[in-house]
Amino acid sequence: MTTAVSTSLPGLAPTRFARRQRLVPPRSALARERLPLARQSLADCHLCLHHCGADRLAGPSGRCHAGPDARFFAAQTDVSDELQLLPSFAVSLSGCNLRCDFCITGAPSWNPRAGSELDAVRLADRARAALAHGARSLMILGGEPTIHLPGLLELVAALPDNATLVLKTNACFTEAARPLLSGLFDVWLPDLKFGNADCAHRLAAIPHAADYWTTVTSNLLWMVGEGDTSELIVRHLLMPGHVDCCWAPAAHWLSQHLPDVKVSLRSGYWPAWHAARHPELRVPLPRTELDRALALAQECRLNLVP
Amino acid sequence: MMTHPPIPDVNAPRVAPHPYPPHAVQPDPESPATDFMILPDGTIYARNLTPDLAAILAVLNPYDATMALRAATILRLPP
Repeated sequence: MTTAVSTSLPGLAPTRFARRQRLVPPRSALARERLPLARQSLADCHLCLHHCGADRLAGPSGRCHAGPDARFFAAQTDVSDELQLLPSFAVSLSGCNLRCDFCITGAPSWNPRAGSELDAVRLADRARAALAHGARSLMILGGEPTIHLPGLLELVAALPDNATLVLKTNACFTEAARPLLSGLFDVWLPDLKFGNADCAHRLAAIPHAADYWTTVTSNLLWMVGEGDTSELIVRHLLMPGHVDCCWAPAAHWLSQHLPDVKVSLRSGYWPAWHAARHPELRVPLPRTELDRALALAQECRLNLVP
Repeated sequence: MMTHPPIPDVNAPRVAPHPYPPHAVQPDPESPATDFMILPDGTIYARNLTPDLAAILAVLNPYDATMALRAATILRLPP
């Protein structure tokens, strides 16, 4: 019997990350200060690579179909993620700007109306309880959390300043979102999903004009520039049939541009949601492909973390 | 020029991707939930793994070092 939550990289011990140096004012105050600007940005939304220009204050609109208010579909202590972050109290916001057919949380991720209203104070109370019971980090994810910047900032403003705060994101946000996100997170956990625009288009309905690769890689470089106050761990979910077209370009780019960054190679691909639309995605990741991906990571001298 | 992804391995474990979400019923966001997929060859996939279930999986497969580390995190939690 084998178990495959995400990655199995024997011999790699979990590492601790340095506690970030606290900004003055604290991040809760920063988040609160930015709330009006975040709300205003929804009136002509250019927060993600789709540049819809939708008025989300008027109601659900744009490619994400999200309105002004965030909802969440899960909030629980979790041990599925990178070992150095565990246990993590994770809050999943509903809705996403991508349409990944293989999404493991397809229904609530594609539907910003799924789940419950985001009550930041109540969730922060639960987060404090989780921390008191041994949680090592707090994680905000989705869906895609950066499409809900006002809700995300409300949540950050309510969470304890001394907790290790992680943002798991598809990194498809634009430069307009960066000033609202800067300095708030101890760990950036972006997912470099695709290695080229064709796969991004075919599997996640990202138009070629949106320039997925440039958007995400420029955000990764921006995140590493946030390094005085945070740490970057880049994720890649290995998909069957996509080692050469997606993982290889990602690995080579990381090797060239972010050679020391931590990389989390996720091997627990699980055919779900609309994966059956794509013949190669109907099976779990073959062992041979995992071995090839790990060999490539070694060849590129990537700093893999479990 | 992109090459088309290879045809799936016919000998790989077969699964039938479900057009619905892992949860047949939308879970209560206030209540912890974990999804499993168990393949015919015994491979277990899990999503949103809770510490308690990690402990169970670690017992089922004591050779999975990563799972043992995930399960170990439960020791820092109160009974």
